[in-house]
Amino acid sequence: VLPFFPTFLVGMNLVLAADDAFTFLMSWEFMSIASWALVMAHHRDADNERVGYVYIVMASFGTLALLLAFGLLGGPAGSYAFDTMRAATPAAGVASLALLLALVGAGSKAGIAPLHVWLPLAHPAAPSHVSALMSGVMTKVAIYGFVRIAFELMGPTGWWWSIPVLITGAATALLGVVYALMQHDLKRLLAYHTVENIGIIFVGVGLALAFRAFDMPFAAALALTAGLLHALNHSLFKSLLFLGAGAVLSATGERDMDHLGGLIHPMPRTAFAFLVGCVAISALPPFNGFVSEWLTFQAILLTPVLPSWALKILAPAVGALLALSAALAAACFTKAFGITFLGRPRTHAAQRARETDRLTLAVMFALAALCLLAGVFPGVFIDALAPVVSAAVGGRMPAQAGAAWLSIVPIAESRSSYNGLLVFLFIAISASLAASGIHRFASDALRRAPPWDCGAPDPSPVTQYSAESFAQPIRRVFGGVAFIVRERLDLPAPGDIRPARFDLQLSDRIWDALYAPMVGLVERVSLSLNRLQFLTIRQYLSVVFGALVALLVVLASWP
Amino acid sequence: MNAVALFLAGDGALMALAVLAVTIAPRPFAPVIIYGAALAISAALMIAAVVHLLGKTPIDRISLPLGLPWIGTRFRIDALSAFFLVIVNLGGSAASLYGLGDGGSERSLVSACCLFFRRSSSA
Repeated sequence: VLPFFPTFLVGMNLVLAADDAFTFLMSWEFMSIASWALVMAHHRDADNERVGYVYIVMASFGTLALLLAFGLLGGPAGSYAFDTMRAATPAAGVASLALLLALVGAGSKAGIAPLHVWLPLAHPAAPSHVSALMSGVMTKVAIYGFVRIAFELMGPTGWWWSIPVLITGAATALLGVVYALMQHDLKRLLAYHTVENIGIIFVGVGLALAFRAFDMPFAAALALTAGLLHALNHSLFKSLLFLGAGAVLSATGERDMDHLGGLIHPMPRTAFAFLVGCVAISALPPFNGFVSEWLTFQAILLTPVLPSWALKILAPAVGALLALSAALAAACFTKAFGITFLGRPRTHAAQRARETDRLTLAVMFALAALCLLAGVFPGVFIDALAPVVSAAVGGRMPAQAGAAWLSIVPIAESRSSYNGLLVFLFIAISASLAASGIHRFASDALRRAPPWDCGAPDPSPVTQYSAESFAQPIRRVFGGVAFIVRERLDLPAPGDIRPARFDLQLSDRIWDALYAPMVGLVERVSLSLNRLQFLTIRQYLSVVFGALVALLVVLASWP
Repeated sequence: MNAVALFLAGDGALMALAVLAVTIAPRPFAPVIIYGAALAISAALMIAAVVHLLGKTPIDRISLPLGLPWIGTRFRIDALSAFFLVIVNLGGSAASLYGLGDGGSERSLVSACCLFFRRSSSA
């Protein structure tokens, strides 16, 4: 891990500083290869070899798409300097194709559906601090790549370009959270949830593209600020959550939530920091996740003024999907925290857990504090984004520094405003009053009794509500959207003392429908081509001669 | 100092750290040195990016005679780059600090370099 960790940081830094396509792609590959090596750190696990293979194939595919996008933007002269691309105005068809390729190339690294399949495999496979970097940071480098190309290198854009971005973003957000809800591996749940947040960011970016195309710079600034602020916020709470999951993994050796439970007692500080991350990612005030999602909804509420009917109809649907995914995200993190930290330990590993070390706690509390600060004083962050946004869309949100009581005002005070400080003070004061009232008027005596179930002592903590139990009602409703679900119940007849068995198999619908046929096709083609290495010398000469004749015929008949 | 030059110097230092890590990786003190230095460099780069972003500094550029001969290697830091550099180096600092602590317990696993040797020896 050690040599590749700084290399990975270098790769990400260089992508952000690159000012020509060659340097950008070289740095992008550098970042991909270093992160692949880090994913393979646990290569002795049998699954990780497959994970590494899927990751490197998807990373190469993304780079190829970006290479083609830059090739189209560079034009026949091959001008790979970004300055030349900024100055040029590509034809509408070329620019549309380049945008699509950029969406595929950057989106595959960011984890948009249906190119997300590598992400929930690779992110959890890496050591936890690398998972935090990949999920919290590397996906943002991909967002940067898309924003740089779409808002700067491509020149003026058509309004219809926003449609694939909005649809992809909304679908990614919903699919990501549904996938996450079905997981019982804590790190995989967090990785799938990254997919959801990437969708939310792409919705903000897509709205900004639409508003910019209709020359509405202030609305575009609001949408892009929402997207970029969510990128920053996600990097904070996702790093916090992955480091929290790493602390749990170090203390118990377990990632499976159904093998954990009750960790709030041996690991109270980790539990508190993790809870802050859960509340922030669930977009609950007064934390930062709420602010950026609220700004995204404010941008969606501006879409009725757009002249395009397609966008007028699409935007509310996107808003509804985002609202649904926000609600499901809250359910997902109630499950993640509840099953991992509450209840009774389900295994000896969870029972023997000890609090993590001070440095890990320090970094988790620092990130938790940043989540709170960005939620309570969002105006500072919005004002800091003003130069970024104004360079991209030609406008900025109103300056927030002068707003009364540190409120944020996206458009005008008469329309909507939010004050994180007041919400924080209200929650803090009302919670303190409620707690002191309860302690004053209720008994302080604490009684712990052995658990019981149906009136009899409960012999095993395994009978507790599990991650699977929690997700079951939601799986029944939404599981079919993302998964092919197969349930099999073997219920013995009355009098038969065999235990009843319930088998549940979930397979990824996208993997089965899109990737599995491709893998099968490549395998079949490879096997049939494999025969070529067992030919005789006469057959080889015939093949070479036939190929030569075929090429000459093609060349002669080329118009 | 030009902001781009500062960032390239930071990246050079991180690259030197990677080379150092190859040589000292088996030593017990290696994680402290590597993660400690990565923390210091990432934190410095993050502060530089915040200053660049908040200071509304004009766009900085540098062109090096590397890469493709007809364009060289060009670097540029503007507000968009600076914002994402804050995210990258904040995340880098947090991950490095975690690596210094208990998170380093995963460090005992064999480095990915060995993958190549294992593959080539089994081939």
